[in-house]
Amino acid sequence: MNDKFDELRIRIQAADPAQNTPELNHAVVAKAPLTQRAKRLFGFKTTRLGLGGASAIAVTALALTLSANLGTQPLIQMAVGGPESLSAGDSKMMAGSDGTVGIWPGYWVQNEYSPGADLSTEQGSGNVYQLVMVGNSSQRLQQIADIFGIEGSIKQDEWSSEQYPSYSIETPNRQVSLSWNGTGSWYYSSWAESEVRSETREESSEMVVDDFKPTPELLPSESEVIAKALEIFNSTGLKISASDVRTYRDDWGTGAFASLKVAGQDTAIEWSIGYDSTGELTYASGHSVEANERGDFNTISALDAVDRIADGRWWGNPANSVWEQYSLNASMLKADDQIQVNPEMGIYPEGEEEFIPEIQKLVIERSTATMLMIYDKSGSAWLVPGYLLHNDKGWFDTVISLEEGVIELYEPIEMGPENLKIDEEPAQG
Amino acid sequence: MTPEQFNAIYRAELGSITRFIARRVPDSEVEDLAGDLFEVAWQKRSSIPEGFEIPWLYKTARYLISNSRRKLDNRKRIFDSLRPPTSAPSAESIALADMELGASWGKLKPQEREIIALWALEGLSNKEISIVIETSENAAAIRLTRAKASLKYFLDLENQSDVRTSN
Repeated sequence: MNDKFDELRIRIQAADPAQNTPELNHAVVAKAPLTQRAKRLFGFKTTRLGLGGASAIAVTALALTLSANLGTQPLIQMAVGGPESLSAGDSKMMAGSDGTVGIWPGYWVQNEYSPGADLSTEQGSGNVYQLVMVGNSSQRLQQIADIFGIEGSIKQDEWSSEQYPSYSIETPNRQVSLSWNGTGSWYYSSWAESEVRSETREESSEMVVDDFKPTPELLPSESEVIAKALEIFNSTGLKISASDVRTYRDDWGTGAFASLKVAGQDTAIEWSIGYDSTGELTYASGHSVEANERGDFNTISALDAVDRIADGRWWGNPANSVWEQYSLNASMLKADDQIQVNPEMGIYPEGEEEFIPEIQKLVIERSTATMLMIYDKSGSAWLVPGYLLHNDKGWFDTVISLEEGVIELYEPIEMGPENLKIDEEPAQG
Repeated sequence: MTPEQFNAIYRAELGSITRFIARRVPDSEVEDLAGDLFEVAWQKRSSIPEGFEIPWLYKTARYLISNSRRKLDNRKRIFDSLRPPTSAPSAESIALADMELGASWGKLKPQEREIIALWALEGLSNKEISIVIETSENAAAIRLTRAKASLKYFLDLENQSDVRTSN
């Protein structure tokens, strides 16, 4: 059906990345009934290198005491992952989080870092925390369901796997779900029908279009949102006060966030609630972990941390409040401050086999000590000391500041822009 | 449902499913994910609503893609653990054909990208989208309207920026 966004749809379809994808062999369907259920559900036969090189900070916790010899037995052992799924916005913000190459829409930028004159050379120390899921999955899901008044039986989700168990309790228009790995994230969703203001208009004799209108007057006030957030967050394990709650609001909805604080610092573990335009609470989310301190470890200086950016394997996730602050700053950048990219660079020139990236020089001007979240191979989450390294282009990188030996890095990944090349051959079959 | 009936029904959807997955993961993973998806479909064949096979496949594929990203990419796994599951083509893949659209696409929220992709690329109706993202038809229509408006807004900003640059 045509509507006023018809041009938009045509433009998106023209940019469809799958328009030349050949159809798979029909055997992929035919063999499904022949497969025994014991087979892995989500295993992959292929190992993929990420577009930006190393980014994973997966770690494997070894059962160590603080007196362990870190020189031979690291607390944390890193594993490999690929950054393919980073969004362009994330890539822009984290200038060098993929090693030295940033993923930009349509082209490649190779970052070169140098420290500014004001970076500290002081070493220090910081605590490491392991985030441990509390209770068991059935109890936790039932607890969340009780809070939202959802009655029903627990079912294992169709996409659940041994490594990523996932459960839910569902009614015709509401659901709570729980992912029992990592941080034990849970999610509440309501899709109860509510009256939404809309205007129906005729665009032609054959076409009728519904324009949905926001109803901001139905939204709860900010204080009501905060009160509801406190009620849900506190009852699901996030003990905070009203001053810790961040809110957002536009004509189409409102909501609130709050971060799990560990040692007085915000972390990447976040709870949230949201209302739709009719003022209905339509979603909420949170986690099921507590932070267990694993000890105090030496940290490197901010100056030395700059050398780790290009490696890419020292990345960790900062608190969401950091992302939000930087998103705001980035959106406020003047056009002149944004990097100008030569469209002739950072692509494969026709007939050339050698890729020519655009070089971008970045100066790390200052650092902020922070707590970063990383994951281990078993899916367990950790909080470790790190730095936000702020560069002269208005972005930042994160670097784990633990001294060598606490974390065992995975093997470096060879990467190259050829991963972005598109097969120009026409579709087959 | 016999294997023959299953083949007849789901072979017809193979092209759509191939493209749905290919928009969201590297080519090297498409076949594995498609194989996993049809295995799940076979196991759950009795509970898939007749006539809604495609949105059911998209819904399940969305979770498979989300899980595969978590498995393969720690950083994404972190984000995914903090957000509801989404699967949408990346800004990079869109930008390879249309840089301006890719830039605007990258500014959308993951959920906005996903619902626009379901509308524009998968060609789903509001009803079908609501099944994929597990919400009401009404809510799906509203989210889609908002997402389209957001994308148009960012595209307009890009156009204005281009005009300023050329001047």
